Amino acid sequence: MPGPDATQPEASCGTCIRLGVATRPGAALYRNGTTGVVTCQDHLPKATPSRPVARPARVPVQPWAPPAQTPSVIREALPSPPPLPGVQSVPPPASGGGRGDAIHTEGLTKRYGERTAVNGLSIRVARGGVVGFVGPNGAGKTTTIRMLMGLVRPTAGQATILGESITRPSRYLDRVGALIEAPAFYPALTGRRNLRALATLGGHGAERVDDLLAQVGLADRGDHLYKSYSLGMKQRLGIAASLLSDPDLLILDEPTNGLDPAGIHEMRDFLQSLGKKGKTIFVSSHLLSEIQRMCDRLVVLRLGTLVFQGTVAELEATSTAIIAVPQQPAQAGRLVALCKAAGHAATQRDGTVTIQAPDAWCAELNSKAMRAGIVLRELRPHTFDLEERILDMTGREAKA
Amino acid sequence: MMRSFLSEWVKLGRLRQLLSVWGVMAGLMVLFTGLIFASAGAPPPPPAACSPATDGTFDQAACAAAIAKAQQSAARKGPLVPTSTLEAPDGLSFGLSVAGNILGIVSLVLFAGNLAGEYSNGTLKILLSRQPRRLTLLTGKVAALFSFAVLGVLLAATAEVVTSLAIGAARGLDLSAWGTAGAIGDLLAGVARLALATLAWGTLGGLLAVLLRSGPAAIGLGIGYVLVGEGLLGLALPDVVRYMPGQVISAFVAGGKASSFSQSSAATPLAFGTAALLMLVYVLVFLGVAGAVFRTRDVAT
Repeated sequence: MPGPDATQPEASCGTCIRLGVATRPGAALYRNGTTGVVTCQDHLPKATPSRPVARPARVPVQPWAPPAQTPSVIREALPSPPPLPGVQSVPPPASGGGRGDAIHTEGLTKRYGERTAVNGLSIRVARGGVVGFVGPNGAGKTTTIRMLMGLVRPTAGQATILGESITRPSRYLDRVGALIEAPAFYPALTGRRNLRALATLGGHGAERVDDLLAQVGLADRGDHLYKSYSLGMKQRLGIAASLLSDPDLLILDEPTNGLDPAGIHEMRDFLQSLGKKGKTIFVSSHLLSEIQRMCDRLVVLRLGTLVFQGTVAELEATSTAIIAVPQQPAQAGRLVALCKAAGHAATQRDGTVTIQAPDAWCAELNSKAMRAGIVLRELRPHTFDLEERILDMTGREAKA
Repeated sequence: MMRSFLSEWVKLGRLRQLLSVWGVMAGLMVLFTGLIFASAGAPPPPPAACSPATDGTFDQAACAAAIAKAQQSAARKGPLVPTSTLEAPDGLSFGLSVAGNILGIVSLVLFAGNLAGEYSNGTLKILLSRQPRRLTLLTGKVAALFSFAVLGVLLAATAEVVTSLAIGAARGLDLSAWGTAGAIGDLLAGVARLALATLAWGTLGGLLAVLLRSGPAAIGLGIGYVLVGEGLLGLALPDVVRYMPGQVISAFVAGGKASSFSQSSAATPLAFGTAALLMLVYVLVFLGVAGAVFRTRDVAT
């Protein structure tokens, strides 16, 4: 943490601070009591327009948890986030339910020999909207998607897609579009001919090919060989192929791979517009900031196991705390006791006290501390970045 | 299945693909037919030992030994085919039976490369997302590839007839028998046998592709088996190798006639009926195993 400096932001409502650098724009309260505007330094490339994420309604937060053992610089510099809201926030799907869901799995498991790729996955994805599917490499995302698409047979468990069992993919795949891993087409065919082959196979009209090429910005490159395409163009062609059947459910594995910032922005808007039309978009991505911007709901996996499913707002709601730094580090223990006496979980590390309480409690804490003879040199609410939150859930060793 | 068939043709129907595969088939047929006609000649005269002596006696043992010696000599430096064989009514279709194995290998490569490519390119997963009925997809693809190979056979047969007429006339052969109904019938039957043989070779390639999921591996193993494997087996077990796929298909293409180009000349060729039945069994087994594996195995690439 930076040392005391009246010119540094001290408290900033709605501003996420990491290593002294604001990651979202917002009003800041400086230590000398003045206010100002925090400069934003977003994680995304600068060409990517940054859009503030809507603040969720505050909800009571869960008890504080000891910090995870992740020795990263960021971890050292920041207080630990609250415990994972986890699966408990959304009850597992009831057996036999889910007929109306876009995706519903119960105990879905896939083992390859000794290795368990997906372990008892139970998720429920309601129809409509954009749902993020997040997890590090090897978390089981692609294996799950393959099982949902009927490409891989589960070792155990069951699942339905649009109300149909995944044991009978022919009953639902005409209503599902998918881009699984990297786009794969015939290198020696043109983009148009690749789409024509798929349209013919799926029984879709040939006129749809031209529409889709135009829709994904490949109208003028449709007659070029696929092997001459850039990664971003291949990705666009993959998106076009997934839309051939005008699907109700779109399952996309890393759709923004290879796209430039403008392309990512277009893709995000495009998928959100589909979501608003009532289609369900189930999208996995390594770009957590993109997931945050794009998705209404999240499903988070780690090592083949579900660690969270719920709305982005639910996850964000568990990501706020108050940071208080006593002038005398020795007083940190008293400050923790004071907070606990007031009914708020609190922990301390290196003289910094982290209290799980709504930011509105800042003023009351300041008053209580003053009455107890504790002088605070720093007091501010803190919102954990969603990316930080997800990385804490899934393990920082794999930033995906 | 029709959608799968037509979709495969969208892929196959590229001008470059058509020219390369069909061009290779027609080119090989022209090459083989040309070599046969170019090297045809009169059969060697009977050995002197087979002529009666001045006293009217005839040494049968000496004659047999002389014939055997003459045959060995002819095999080394004599004509590939006697001109009388080419001038016969079935001489018009002689090239078809000779080049049958080579066209079969082209078919094996076509099927193996195409099906294994779906795995190695990763395109199978996108195909299955549009046609999740795997057997329907496979059947359509095999039907499309078969139709593609048959059109190649027709083109190759046309090339064979044109080459035979051109070189036969140029060499002054008596081609009068080729215009008979029997000659035309032999030609059509030869084309039909060759077309069916390409299916048999193709299904072998398809099976290897589905099992190995790698084009180079499937093609290498298939060609290696046909050109080397059965040859070696023929040296050790000539009576067994007659029933192996390569020999069975060769016997079927030859129409039950002994072929001087048989890979296992030591073995007696199978009768046509037996060869046809065995080839059908092989095709059904190849398709059945490939279908079962294709239908049940995870698509994890």
